[in-house]
Amino acid sequence: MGLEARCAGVKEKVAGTEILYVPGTDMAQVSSTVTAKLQATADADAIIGLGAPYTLTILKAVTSAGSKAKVASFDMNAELAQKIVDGEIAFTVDQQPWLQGYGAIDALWQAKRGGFQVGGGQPVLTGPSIVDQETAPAVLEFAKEGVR
Amino acid sequence: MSANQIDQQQLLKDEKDPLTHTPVHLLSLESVGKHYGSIVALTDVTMAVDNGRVTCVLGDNGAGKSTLIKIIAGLHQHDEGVLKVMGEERKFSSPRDALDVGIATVYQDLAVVPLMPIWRNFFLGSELTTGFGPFKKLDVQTMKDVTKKELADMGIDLRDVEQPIGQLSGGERQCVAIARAVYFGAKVLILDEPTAALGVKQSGVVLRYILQARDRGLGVIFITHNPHHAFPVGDRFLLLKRGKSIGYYDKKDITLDELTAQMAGGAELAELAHELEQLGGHGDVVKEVQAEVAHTSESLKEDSPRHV
Amino acid sequence: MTITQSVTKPPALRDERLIKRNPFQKLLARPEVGALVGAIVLFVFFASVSQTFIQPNAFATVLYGSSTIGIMAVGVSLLMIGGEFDLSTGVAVISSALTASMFSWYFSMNVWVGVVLALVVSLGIGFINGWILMKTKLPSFIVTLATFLMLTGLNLGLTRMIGGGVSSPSISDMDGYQAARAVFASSVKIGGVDVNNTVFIWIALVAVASWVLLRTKVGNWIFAVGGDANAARAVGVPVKATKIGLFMAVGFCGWVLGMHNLFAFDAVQSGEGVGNEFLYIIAAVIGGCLLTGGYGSAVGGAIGAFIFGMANKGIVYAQWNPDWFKFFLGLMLLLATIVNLIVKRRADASKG
Repeated sequence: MGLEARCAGVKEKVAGTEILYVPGTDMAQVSSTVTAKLQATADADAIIGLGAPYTLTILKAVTSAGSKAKVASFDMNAELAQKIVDGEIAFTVDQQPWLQGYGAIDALWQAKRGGFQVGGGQPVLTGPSIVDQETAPAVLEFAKEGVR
Repeated sequence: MSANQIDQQQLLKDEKDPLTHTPVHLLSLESVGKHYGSIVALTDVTMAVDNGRVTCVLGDNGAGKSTLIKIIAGLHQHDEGVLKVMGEERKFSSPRDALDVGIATVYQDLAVVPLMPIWRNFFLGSELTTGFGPFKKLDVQTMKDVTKKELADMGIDLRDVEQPIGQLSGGERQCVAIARAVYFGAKVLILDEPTAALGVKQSGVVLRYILQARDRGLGVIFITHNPHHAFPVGDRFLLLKRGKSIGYYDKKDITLDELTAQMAGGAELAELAHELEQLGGHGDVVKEVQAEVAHTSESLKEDSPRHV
Repeated sequence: MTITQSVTKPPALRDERLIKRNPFQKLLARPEVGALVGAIVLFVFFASVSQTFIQPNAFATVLYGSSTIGIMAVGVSLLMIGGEFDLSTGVAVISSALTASMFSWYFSMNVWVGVVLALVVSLGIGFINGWILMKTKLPSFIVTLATFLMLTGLNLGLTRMIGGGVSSPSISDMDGYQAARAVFASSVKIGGVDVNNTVFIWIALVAVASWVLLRTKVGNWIFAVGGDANAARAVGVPVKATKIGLFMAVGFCGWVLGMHNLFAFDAVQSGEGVGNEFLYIIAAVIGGCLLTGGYGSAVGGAIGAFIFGMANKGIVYAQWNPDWFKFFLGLMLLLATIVNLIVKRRADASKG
């Protein structure tokens, strides 16, 4: 699954990464499990959430546990962008899903209209776009509108 | 085989309301009938229940016994005839209604909740509480004490009223249910086939409690298909067959084998005597029955040899 | 009547078949004893494999993780004792949270208005579950499965319709938010350790439920309707009202947890909660509640939730692969129910 691929990618670059599985349908369990992990691994440097709502919950857990671990994320919503602007979350890897939808339909339309082949039949990347504190303010505006 | 049927008015002469001293039946049914859609379950049933009397309702499966008790217990309503409590015409809309006028029913299989302790079962639906408002709590100690005492009065001595009632024998469970009805001031006690699922000895035990309840002044309706259980304890016998009353007798007017013969159309005497022998060891009641059997078996030989 | 006089008081019936039980046997006959043994074993086990596990702050985390399951397990246990199931509990929690958040947000009202409305909705869901069940006499499995599906759909559909997204908008800057957060989602420092409010709410609910169950009329009725509804009806217990009330009690627990979810995390994902209903049922069953009703305890459900919390977090503390958690949970469920069965049989045998 996509989430597994994300974990594998992180682990490939940062060898010491440990993967923590949480039940995505229960925020309270996400929070308490992350807290438990932070208590068990007090020397963790960073924790990366795989979705904007989970990262926000993780951030709360990190703050209340008094951990020094930095928080980063995949995906984005307006609140997450705000937290990046505020400097509470380091960065997020935005897959730019809006573009995925738009690009796909556009590619079909172009193919129909002129037989164009966007990307020459190869996968067309819509990202990733790394949003950090520097780029976040601009992104935040669009995120609030629901575009990003 | 020509026992005299009871005349309801004749019967009434012996019964009086303890308060007003006017002749009135505790509970009486006059020409009561019931049908479910086009199926006639019961027609023209007349019977009376009085303090300190046991009225037995006898009949085979499908004779209309359960329809009859359901009407009296408030589970169903009759379509024809009149049901009177203390001379007043009534129609019960729920078991609660019937309970409120003092008609308690002990069902054969659903008398108690098996997993619950005896004392909780005893007070189920009529729990004693102390305290006020939201802090009203169960008066556990009193309930346990009362349960123990009431059961002891009925002759059941349990050290531990905390044990689940399911651990008692079938007869004992019936007795707890009877004791419960007696304690909660039932005036009329309906016993639905209390001995049907019991062995001979346990049946004897239950029959004893029926007499205990009677001696406490209750009017007892004893439903059974077994004349050998009914005869020793009954004062009056109502025989049902296919939803109709086929006889209504006073004890003095009928013998056990007449009853048996009427009910089943002739039962085998050997089996009857055998079962009554097994019933033995329960005091004078049975002795009297045995004497009666001996007597009637002779008379039966003369009267109706086809039954031998 | 010659018979009348001749009947003397029958001799005492009781005899050699009843043996007085000692206090230990009495303890063994309690419904939650299997779970208690399991909890102790599990605690000792994780304490021995993980240093962190027995530290106070870790214990507080375990308690918090247990409490979010335990709060619901209280209601679910009572319902199970009353002989019914509720498969809609997991999503009903989220429905409650979404109601409070979407209503307050849409009308820009004080969040407390939303909180009260959510309570009404939660109790309403419980009432509807119970009422349909009583009217149709269908098994609760079917009725609440239907409610589960409908609520799942409503959660998604209404959230998207009103808020435009799949999660509710954050209400952290609205009136009354801080006060509500203080009630439902704050923590108290005890001995230098932050203990989440939900832990105290959980304990309070367990205490109230135990009291109701063992010391009130209603408690007696709950056991009775679960043990034998027909017998209960025959002696005048209001069976329908009791069962509907139980579903509403579950609704109340769902409201408490829903409010915690909302105020702890500001926003609620509309797809959350699915599958949690089984955790609540598992907690109740591990805690000794009989699936068929009529037997169990609120404390048992609490211990069941605690076992869940310990197993869930213990695996993290022990630095194990969490893939094994579900296996562990299943094993606990099996062991606890078997222990319950054996203990119950033994306790019964010692008397029968």
